[in-house]
Amino acid sequence: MVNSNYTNITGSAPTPISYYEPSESIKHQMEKDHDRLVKSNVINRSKASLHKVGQAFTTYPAKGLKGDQNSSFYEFLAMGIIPTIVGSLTMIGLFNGVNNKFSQSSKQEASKIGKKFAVGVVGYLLAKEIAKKVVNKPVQAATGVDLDQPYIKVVREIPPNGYEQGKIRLEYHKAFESSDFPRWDLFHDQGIEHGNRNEYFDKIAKRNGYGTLNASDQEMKPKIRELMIKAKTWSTVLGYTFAATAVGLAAQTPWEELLNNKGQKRGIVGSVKHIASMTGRSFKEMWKGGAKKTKASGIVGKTLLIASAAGAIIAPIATVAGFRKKANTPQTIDESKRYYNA
Amino acid sequence: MTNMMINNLISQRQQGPSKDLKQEPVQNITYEAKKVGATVYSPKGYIVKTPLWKAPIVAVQDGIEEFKSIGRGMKGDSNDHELGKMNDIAMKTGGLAIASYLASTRVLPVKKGMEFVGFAAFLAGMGASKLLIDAPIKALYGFDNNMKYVDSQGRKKPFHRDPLYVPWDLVPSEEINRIGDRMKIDPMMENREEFIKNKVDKISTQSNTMWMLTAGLTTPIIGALLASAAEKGLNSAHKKVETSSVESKINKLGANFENLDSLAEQKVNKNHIEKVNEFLNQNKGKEADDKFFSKLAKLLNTSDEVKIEDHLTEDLKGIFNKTEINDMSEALGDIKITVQHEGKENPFTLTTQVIKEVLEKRGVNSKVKISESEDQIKNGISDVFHKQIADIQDNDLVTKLNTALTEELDKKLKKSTRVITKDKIEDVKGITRVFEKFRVKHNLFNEFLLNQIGQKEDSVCAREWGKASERIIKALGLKNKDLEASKKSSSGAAEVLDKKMLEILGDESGSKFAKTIEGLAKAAGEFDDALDKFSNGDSFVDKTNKMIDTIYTKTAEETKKLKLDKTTEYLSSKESIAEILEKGILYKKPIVGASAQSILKDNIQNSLKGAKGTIYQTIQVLDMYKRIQELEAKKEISKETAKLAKHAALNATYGDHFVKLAIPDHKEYKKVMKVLYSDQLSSATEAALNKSHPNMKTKILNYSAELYNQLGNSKNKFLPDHVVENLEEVKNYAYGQNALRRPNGQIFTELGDRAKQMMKGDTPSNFIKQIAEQKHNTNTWLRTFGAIGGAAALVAVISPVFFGKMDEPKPKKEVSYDA
Repeated sequence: MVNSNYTNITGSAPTPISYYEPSESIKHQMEKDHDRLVKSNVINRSKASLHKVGQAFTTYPAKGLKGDQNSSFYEFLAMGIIPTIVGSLTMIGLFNGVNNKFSQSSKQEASKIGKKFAVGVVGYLLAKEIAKKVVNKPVQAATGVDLDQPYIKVVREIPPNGYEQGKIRLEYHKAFESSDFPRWDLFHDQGIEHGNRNEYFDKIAKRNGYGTLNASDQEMKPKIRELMIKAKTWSTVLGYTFAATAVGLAAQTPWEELLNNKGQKRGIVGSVKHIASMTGRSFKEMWKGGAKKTKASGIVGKTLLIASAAGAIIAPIATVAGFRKKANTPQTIDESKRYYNA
Repeated sequence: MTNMMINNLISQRQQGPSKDLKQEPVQNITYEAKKVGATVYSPKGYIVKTPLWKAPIVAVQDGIEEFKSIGRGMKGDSNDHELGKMNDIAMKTGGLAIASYLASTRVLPVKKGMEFVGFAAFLAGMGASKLLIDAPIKALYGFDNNMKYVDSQGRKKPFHRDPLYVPWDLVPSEEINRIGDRMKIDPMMENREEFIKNKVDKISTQSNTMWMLTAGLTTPIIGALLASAAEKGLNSAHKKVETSSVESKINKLGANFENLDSLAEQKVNKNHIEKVNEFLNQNKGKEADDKFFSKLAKLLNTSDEVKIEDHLTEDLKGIFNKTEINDMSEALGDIKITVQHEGKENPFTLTTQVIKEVLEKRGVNSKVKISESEDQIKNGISDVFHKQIADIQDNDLVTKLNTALTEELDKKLKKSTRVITKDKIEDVKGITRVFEKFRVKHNLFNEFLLNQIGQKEDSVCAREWGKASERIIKALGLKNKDLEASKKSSSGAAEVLDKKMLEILGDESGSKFAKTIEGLAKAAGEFDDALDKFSNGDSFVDKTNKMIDTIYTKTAEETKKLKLDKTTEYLSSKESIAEILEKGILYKKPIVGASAQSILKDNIQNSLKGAKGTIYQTIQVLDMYKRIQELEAKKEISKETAKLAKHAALNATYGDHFVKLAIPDHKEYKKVMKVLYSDQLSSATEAALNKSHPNMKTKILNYSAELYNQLGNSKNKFLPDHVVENLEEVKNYAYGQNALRRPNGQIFTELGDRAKQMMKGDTPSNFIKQIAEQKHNTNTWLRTFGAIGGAAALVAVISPVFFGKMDEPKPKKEVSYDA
């Protein structure tokens, strides 16, 4: 399943080198297969991340270990998920893995620490994901720009010696992942299909109070670029603030109850309720200065909690700030003037 | 529109390149460039070579740049490179935030420090996980896989980051050829440089992938190992700093602590004195009630000697008492308490007359003016009362009488009013200063005490204890499998110890025995020395006793001047706990408590004895095994006695001795005690100790003698020599309905028992169990994760050997390209 995209274009055996025009079928295929935006919905986004994670654990390391000439930086970055997952599991394991071999009393103490640590690791990862959503979702609601807009990139690999055509693979990217090279062209392509090259930019301009512009792409591209940089900066800063808070929360005593079912089953609803209750109590405990109620811990704990709460509000506002057209802003382009020599 | 853009472009071309590009055009441009008329600029990029000494400076410089990029990002002006870098600095800052929070929840400074060390260790682990692969690559293939370059825009990037874009043009061809030579590539090969570049690219792609695959295991494990190694260093470094700071503070006080008072004077907290004054002024003119007194006492006593407050409250009531009672009987009125005594014909009666007579007998003239508070009078009377009823055995009756007396006194004693006047406030102001000074002195002493024998894992005592434990394990020759068996339960540990002792004795030459005794004596000796090292010259106990005397006596002198009699008594009395205990049993009356000095001194002494004793016990037990072996050879000991003695030596707690080890025949207990705490060591032990640690011999004999006298001893009935008729009697005495500690005997368990329990220390079996548990936990952890981490690291280190396999191009036939 994972390798389904790693197909050879010609289907069967690769065609030996020739200096003639590619066959009609190949030309047809090449025309059809090009980078394209996909609808930004839950299915596509999950498909994209599943694909990326799946490839990161299978194809990419296989290629990388062979030293394949087509291994790319994208693949290297995608493989970053491996140390994240393995590392997190190892970290959890370091504090939980051998507890069963300890004597009863040590086991209890060790498992208390272990549970908090595990919650901390999971919380850290979750917090960073949540931070992205906390910025990107309000930005989308306010401006209509979906910073998570996915697109499919069609990669044509360099063919190995003696072959005409390399393999064609798909990569899932986000249109705004690079601030230096946002994939504006894909938005234009999409517009062309509907007969208006600037369809997307017209929509964003209208939505944000710029009305109908002659060259909406010219006006909106720098604005959107600014928006994506701000969003990325804020979600990075917010991500680590959230992460620190999450680890702080995980260090509180309520988590020691985790998995203390004593044989009774809670069921899904019960478990969710239990986790919610532990989270709630951890917030309270952290606010009040932790289990030991020390002054310093109270101050740092409150600072983190306040910073996270304030950050969650400030980050989207600061990102969106200045994006909408303000009333009475002078036109950037004076249409009465001519910009070329007659 | 299109026209406009084209015209713009044309005018730009005519103007030439924009001025901010200060690059010089390249002279020998390529054919392709010439063909399209493009201006080509030479790249400004370069390879970064950071010498090791400069690495920290560069790291800081990079960090500053990364910080700046956050600011630019918030303004929306950043590029991909900066956004990527921003993640690094955010991760480090976030990590520091986590460490700061976790550190704030810790109490011990070392634990606080460890949170940061842990984070640093994680970063180091990250670096190490890459180094594991890069180092062998450098060694095998001669190039730096971690090389950085700065591009034409001044952005620092890893050279081998993107295999599809490697800026080889920045590397001089001599360097490329040098790498090729190192990789033993045919010097005559066609397109040699291209081949080398491809090979390097291939190796670095493979190594980057390998890094991703192994980092998840190696980073956290290396981090954890580094952190635990750092913790040891940090611990001992911190301890050295702390100890020397405490030491210099104590030394400044002079040999006999003569500077203590002037130091305290300097450090008095003036704000606090103000606060007390404020409180008094707020209450001026009001009537003082119990709440006021306890609040004031709490305010006055800033030290952690909380019991002072009870005594101080009493004294304050005395100070504020307005009325002076001229005659006891006037205050009392007529008292007549009659309680029907079951089983006796006449009821028990207590009258004012009786009380007066008793008071006079004790030399208290009831006619003399006394300005005591109600409570003091009440206590005085109940003191007399208790003496009267001392011979009553019936607890119910005692309780009834007590209640009746309290009710009567409450009714009869007139309530005197205590108004907070200006004069009284002035009196109290002097007290504030005395107690502030006491706080300063007491805190200083506490700091010293905590550093040395505090109940915390980084006190000198605890750390030395840890070292001694290690030495004992080594001396006894306990292996991993022994620890495995010992860690489960104390009985398991006892079995292991028993086996080990017999094994040591089994060596007929006796050298094993001597060696073990020497090892144990070394552990005990070094433990003792470490504790006394600080108090240069004096023993630790002497030094603390001297200091306690100075602090408490001096304060007591001052409180005496202020007429705080109860407090003075509490601070200065040197009555020992044993004496107080005796009184408590004699009068059957709850004793308010021992004096502050004696409790403190006793606690220090006993906890030290307990700690030392636990270690001495290992020698003592081994010696006992030897003696039993000798006695068995001479057939002078019964099997039963030997078995019981061994059991008692390894397992018996203070409580077990309290019930005479549950041996029905009490003569047997006596025998066991004689064997267990003999007044002579075996000749073999003596010889071994004389050779290595002569003073240890006396220490152990003293310890033995003390335990022999103390264990199970609570008045004569519990001396080992005392033969009890049956075990039930003992148990009844200890736990039964009429047991000493109920209802008046709390003091018995609180002070007496606790002191003895502390002195007995831990049983050898429990001691070994605990060490085994710790050691086993550490070993299991190390074995499991050391193996996983080691395997991953091994894969990382070895894999570069198999990297970069490429077929060297065979000499080609000539190919014509212009077909």
